Parts: sequence; structure tokens; C-alpha cells
Amino acid sequence: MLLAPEILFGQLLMGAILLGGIYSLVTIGLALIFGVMRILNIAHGEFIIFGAYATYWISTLLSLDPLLTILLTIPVAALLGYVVNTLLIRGLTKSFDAPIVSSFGLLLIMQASMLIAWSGDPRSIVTPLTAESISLGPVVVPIIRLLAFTVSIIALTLLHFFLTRTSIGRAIRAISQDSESASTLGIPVQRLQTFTFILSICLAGVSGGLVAMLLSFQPTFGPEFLLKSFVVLALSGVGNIPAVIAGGLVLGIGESYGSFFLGAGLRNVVAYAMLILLLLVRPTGLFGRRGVREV
Amino acid sequence: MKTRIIIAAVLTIVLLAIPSLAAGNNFIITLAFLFTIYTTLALAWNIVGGFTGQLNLGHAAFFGVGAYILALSTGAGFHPYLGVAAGGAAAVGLALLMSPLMRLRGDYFAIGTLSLAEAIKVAILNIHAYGIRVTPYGGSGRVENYYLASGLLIAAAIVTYLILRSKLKLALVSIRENEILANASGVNPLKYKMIALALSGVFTGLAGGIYGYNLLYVPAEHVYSIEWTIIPLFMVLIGGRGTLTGPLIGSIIYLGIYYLLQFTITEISLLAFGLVVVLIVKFMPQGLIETLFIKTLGVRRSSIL
Repeated sequence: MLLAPEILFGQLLMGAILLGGIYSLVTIGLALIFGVMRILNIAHGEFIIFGAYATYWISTLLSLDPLLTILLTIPVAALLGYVVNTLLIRGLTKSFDAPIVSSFGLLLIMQASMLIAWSGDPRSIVTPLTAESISLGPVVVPIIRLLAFTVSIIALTLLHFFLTRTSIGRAIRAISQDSESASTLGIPVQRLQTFTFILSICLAGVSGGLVAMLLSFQPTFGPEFLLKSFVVLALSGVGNIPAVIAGGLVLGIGESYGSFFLGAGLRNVVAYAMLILLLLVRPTGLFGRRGVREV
Repeated sequence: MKTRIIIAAVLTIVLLAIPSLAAGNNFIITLAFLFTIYTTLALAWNIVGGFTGQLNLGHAAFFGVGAYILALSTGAGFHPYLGVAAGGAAAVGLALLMSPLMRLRGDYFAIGTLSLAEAIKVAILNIHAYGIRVTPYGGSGRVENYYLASGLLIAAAIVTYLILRSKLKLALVSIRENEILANASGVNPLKYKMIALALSGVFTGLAGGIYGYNLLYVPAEHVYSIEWTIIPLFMVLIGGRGTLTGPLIGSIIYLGIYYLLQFTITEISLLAFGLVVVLIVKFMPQGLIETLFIKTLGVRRSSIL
């Protein structure tokens, strides 16, 4: 009975897809910074948690609808991104691990300050829609998840068109392909990297606000999101946004079906196992380009 | 040369004399024990991350496996030292299992090793959610554990010294500087990376075993925690990569700052510590040793790592 097709291919698949869309948005900030600045931002999860707290506090203090509050979260996240970029990121050496260690220091700073400011109690955002759901035939869809998924996909689509159709977007993609050539062509690399960093932090903040409506959160949950983003990033390779969406969906589906068949405790093991297997088969990611940076 | 031997001898004597000087003060012995464990880990991480230039973020897996195997084998009635040795062997086994990951480059190697360590942690948490108790064995208490750990530290330092003077170092560094050129010059990258990883693993696994036995309790959440990767990594980067003195000095500086902050401004120690890390990276990106060396001698290495 449990394996009835409408459960296997309806309810479970619906949950997996809704989850996957949010994973894509959670990842995109990491992927952008990694692609354009060559920085593996270990503090990525902390920015997501910061977005969750910002949304929580703004909506509580101003008694606004949480979904509208996300619009106010964006400038707050942008300010944080600007400060962090100015103080820590700009002017670091081009070596590979200086930014990693520096962003780990940032992880400690952010985690500790959030613990001091907001304590370690788990919190969650309750919206008027939290308990509502709609039925599509036998499949029950919680409205809040559907909304979060929709917002994620809209944000990713807008970003996709921004990167492919505007001149700033094209310049950013040029930097991600070869920053030195881009610089000789007159593209203001430094300024656009700053812009990309701030944009990424805004996206992380928005995804944090959405996640906060689905799950309870606390300041120490950052690394969890970081690892999820790593999995999606490695699945999709540093390529384009459709690949990131596909990577998020693959992770969502793998996790949902894995935990359904193997037990919820092994949920994360499934994710990591998928990642490692995939890296072994395709060392540059599922949708990554092969063999470009050999020497 | 002679002064170096004298310094090494003095350090060894100080290291071995700490329990007698502490005169049964458990606090000092525990601090010294942690110092030896962390420094061993830093030296071990340095073999892969420093000499070979592979950013291994799954170092904690070796440590956890060592502690875990110790807990299982003492539970089965074996002598703890046998358990420690088995832990070291298991870590080497794990290193061999990781060989497919060694094909990955740069960022992907870092992500792959990190995921492997986390996957092992979550899988083990599923089996033993609350950790395993270790039964103490007569005649091997805190002080004996300390001697065992400092013996391991001295062994790790000697091995690092031997690597520095051997052809192995040239092979490893050539892989770090340019893997494809190294391959073309007749260095088999996979083989040498595996040697480095196995060496790194055996010391880390043994350290994990000793640590687990000293704690007498092995919770998976703690022994597989990412801190066993990150802290040694910091120590190496603070001190300078691919040297013997770098990890040693880095470890002293790191633990010094860490405990100083813990005891003075407990509430915000992590915050302040994060700031220190960020500032060190910002102003001394090549590590303390290298920065001071460049400043005093005006020598600059051609490749910055």
C-alpha cells in the first residue's frame, strides 16, 4: 500500500521537486561567487542563516507579512555583503586557499555574533499560509512550499536573463571565463566582482528568508546549507543557471527517494554518496565543461 | 646544523618533562596532551596539504576512524595499544579507499574529501547515535597517554624531517607546483599522492586512537567533527606550508591565542578568534614564517601557494 504509484510518483516526486527548487536558490550565491571570483565561500551558510534572521526580525518588529518582508531583507543583505567585501574579500591574494581560510574566519565571526545577538534557540517564521495546502488529485501540496519554490524559480529565471541578455551580465560571464582577458578588454573586473559578491549575498539572504518559512533555524545551522550547496555545485559544475536548477532537482529527488527507501537518518549520506559517485564519473560536474583548465 | 639539533633536543626534553614538571596537575597535562595531538595532526595534514598541495578537507575522517576502531576493539576486549595500532591501520585502509578521489583537482578534491568525511560521520551517527564508551585498562592513564601522544608527535616530526631531505619531497612538491609537468617528467602523480595520503592517514589515525582512549568515550559527532580538519589546516597556514617548523610554530601560536581568548573573554572568544584568523590571512597570506622571512631577508619565493 505504501508503494502505491500515486505516493511514489505523485506525493514524493512533488515534494522532491519543490525541495530541489529551493536547493537551487540556496546554491546560486555560492556558485556565482565561485565562478566569478574563484572564491569558495565557506561562510555561505551563515549568510543564508543571516537572511533567515533578518526576515524573522523585520517581519516581527514591523508586523509585516513574511513574504513581503523578503523584499526588505534584500537591502539588509546587500549592506552586509558590501561591508564584508570591503573589509575582508577585496585585496586578498589570488592564491586558492587564502580566501577559504579567510571565509572560514568569517564563518566563526558570523556564527558567534548571531549566537550572541539572537541566542541558540530554534526559531521559525509562521505565515498565515503555513498550515494551508491544496490538493491536486491525490497529491497534497503545502501552499508555502509551492510559494517558496515559485519565488526561487522566478529569482533564478530573472538572474538567468540578467546574465545572458544584459551587457553587465555578459561582462560578468566574461570575468568568470577569464578575468585577465576580460580586464584587458576594458571590463572593470574589480567593480563587477564587488557587484557579484553583493548580488550573491542578496540571493543567499532571499533563500534564507524562504527556508525560514519551511524549517526551524538557529545560528549553528549554516554549515548544513553550505554542504547542500556544495553537493549542488558539484552536481551542476560551474556553468549556467539551468544546470544549477537541474543540480538542485537531482539533489532534491535523490534525497527524497533515498530517505524514503533507506530511512530518514541516511538522507544526507545519500546526498554525499551521490556527490562522490558523480565526481568519480565526471570530475568536473554533471553539466560542467570538460578539460578546459588543464594546465 | 648543530644549533638545529640542539634546539630539537631541547624541545624533545621539554616535551617529555612536562608531566614531571606539572607534578600531577591534570589541567596542565590535558593541555599538553591536546597540544601534542593537534600538532601531530598539523604535521600529518602538512604532508598532503603542504608538500603535495592537495587541499584535503576530509582529514577528520582519518581521526574519527582511528578513534572509532579503538573504541570497537577495546569493546571486543583487546588491549588499548592494539586498538590504537588497529586505528592507524584502518586509517591507511581508508586512505587507500580514497584513491579514486585523488584524481580530482583543486576545488573538486576539496569538496569530494569534505563530503566523504561528512558522509562517514552521518552514516556512523546512524549506527551509534550516542557514541561508544571505552573501558579503561589498568596501567595506562593520563600520563601514559601523554607519553604515547608525544612519542607520536616526535615520530611525525622525524618523518617530516626525513621527507624534507628525500627525493620524495621533490616528487610531492613537483606535483604541487604543476601536476601535468610533473607527470611529463616521470613522476607518477597518483602514486605519490597516495603515498602522501597514507602517511598523513597513519599519523592521524594513531592520534585519533590515542585521543579516543584518553577521552574514554567516542561520540561520532565529536571525533568526526570538521574541527579536526580545520584546526590543523589553520596551524599549517599560520606557520607556513611544506616546512617542518611551520606546523610546529603555527600550532603553538594557534593554541596560544585560542586558550588566551578562552580564558580571558570567554563569551566572545570565538568571535575574536575569527577576527584573528581573518587578519592573519589578510596581512600575512603566506603564513607567519614566510612573511617574517621575506621581511628580514628580502627573499621572495617564485610561487605563492
